[in-house]
Amino acid sequence: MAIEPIERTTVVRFGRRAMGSPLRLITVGATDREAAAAWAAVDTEIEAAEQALSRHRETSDLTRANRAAGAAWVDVDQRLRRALATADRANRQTAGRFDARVLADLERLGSVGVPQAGALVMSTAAGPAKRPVLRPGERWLSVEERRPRVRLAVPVDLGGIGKGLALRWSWRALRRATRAGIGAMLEAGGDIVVGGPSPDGGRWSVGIEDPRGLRDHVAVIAVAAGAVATSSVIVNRWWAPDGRLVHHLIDPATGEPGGSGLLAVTVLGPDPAWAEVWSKTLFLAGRHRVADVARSRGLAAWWVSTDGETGMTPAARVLTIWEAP
Amino acid sequence: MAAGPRRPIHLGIAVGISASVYAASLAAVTGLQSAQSAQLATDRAPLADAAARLDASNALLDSRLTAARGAFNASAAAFTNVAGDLGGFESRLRSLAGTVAAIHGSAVALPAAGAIPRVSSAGSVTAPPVHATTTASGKLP
Repeated sequence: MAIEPIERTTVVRFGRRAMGSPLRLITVGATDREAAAAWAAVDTEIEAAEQALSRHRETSDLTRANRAAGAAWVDVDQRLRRALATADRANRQTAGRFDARVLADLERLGSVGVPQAGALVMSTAAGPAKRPVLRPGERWLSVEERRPRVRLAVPVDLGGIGKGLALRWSWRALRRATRAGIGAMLEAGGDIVVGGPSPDGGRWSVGIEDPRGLRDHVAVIAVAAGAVATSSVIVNRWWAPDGRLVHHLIDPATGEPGGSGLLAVTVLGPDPAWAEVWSKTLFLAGRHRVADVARSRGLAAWWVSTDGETGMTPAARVLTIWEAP
Repeated sequence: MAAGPRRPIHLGIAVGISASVYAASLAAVTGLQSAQSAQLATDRAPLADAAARLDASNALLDSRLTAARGAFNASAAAFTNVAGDLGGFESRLRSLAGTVAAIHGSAVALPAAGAIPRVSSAGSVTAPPVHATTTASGKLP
């Protein structure tokens, strides 16, 4: 009598730090060699994206482009050109709610990082930073496709969308390195991309962090495939030079930290970069408008207000398998 | 041989000549009239053509008028039917207005806000195990 081989699900885990946060990869059903190849592809792509998009590196392409803003064209990696084009599109798609040009205000408020804005930003003690005024018809971004090179009219910050794009590109590299049907979860800085079967064989369970720290999660959602991004003010906060406690989610309309009445917003979507864009945009809408904006866009979104209330859209509710009582 | 009475030959000749002249005159007059009739017919030909075209146009216009009359009659009949239905619609609208007023009254009586029960997994107070947790963005150093 032949003995049936026991089918085992192979789960391989990798991790390191990247972009100032833990970078984790879980593969399900891949051979050790496949998993190692996937991790190598992710590792390479994350490093390349960070070198192109980070404003925390002295030698990054973004730092060079920001310091030449308003003056010269800069040869850059294709990733930065694509990221700037995506940021420009996000600005239009969100009717200006998402704006990479808030870097001047971040630096005025004392955000850490390699100085970028230089002489272009005239810092003031209070109120929005004085940005260079664009002439009629002038765009903040000029790109040249072939070379590639870019010219910025003003310095920009690609923090959240940059992380989302790094995940997008890493996920594609991972998929190219593995067979179809392999399950995987890629996590960087709190943003998550999943696809294929989970270690349990079904959908991936993703917890939404409780921003007040009273418990681990405010909700748990089941995701078959997609990206989850959270914009929250519980981590990246600091004391501004004028003594105020400020955070990194700047409302471009005021130049000041936005999102009145909210602690965190989480969005699930097909792409990590756009999940980042919408989580930030919804956060800046504030507690009174977050539901309307999210529903009007048909987004699956969860939010936690400063008084501890958890809200979600109808599209989010059908994905929620547990909510904190 | 006895000679017969002398006949007046000259009278016969005169009658013959007169008849010949008359015949010639009649022939000339007839020829002249025939030529004039032909000229008159030629002159009247364009007028006859125009009259024929006018007649054809009149016939076409008549047929169109007949068709238009038919369409108007059909429209009038349809309008009569619609007018008959309008009465029914008005009565139904009055009924709907009454229903709306009743619903509005009920809505006013409802509380301004209602508590929606929370979603939970079989009433569990502890979260199920998760594969990952989405946390704050912006942790860049």
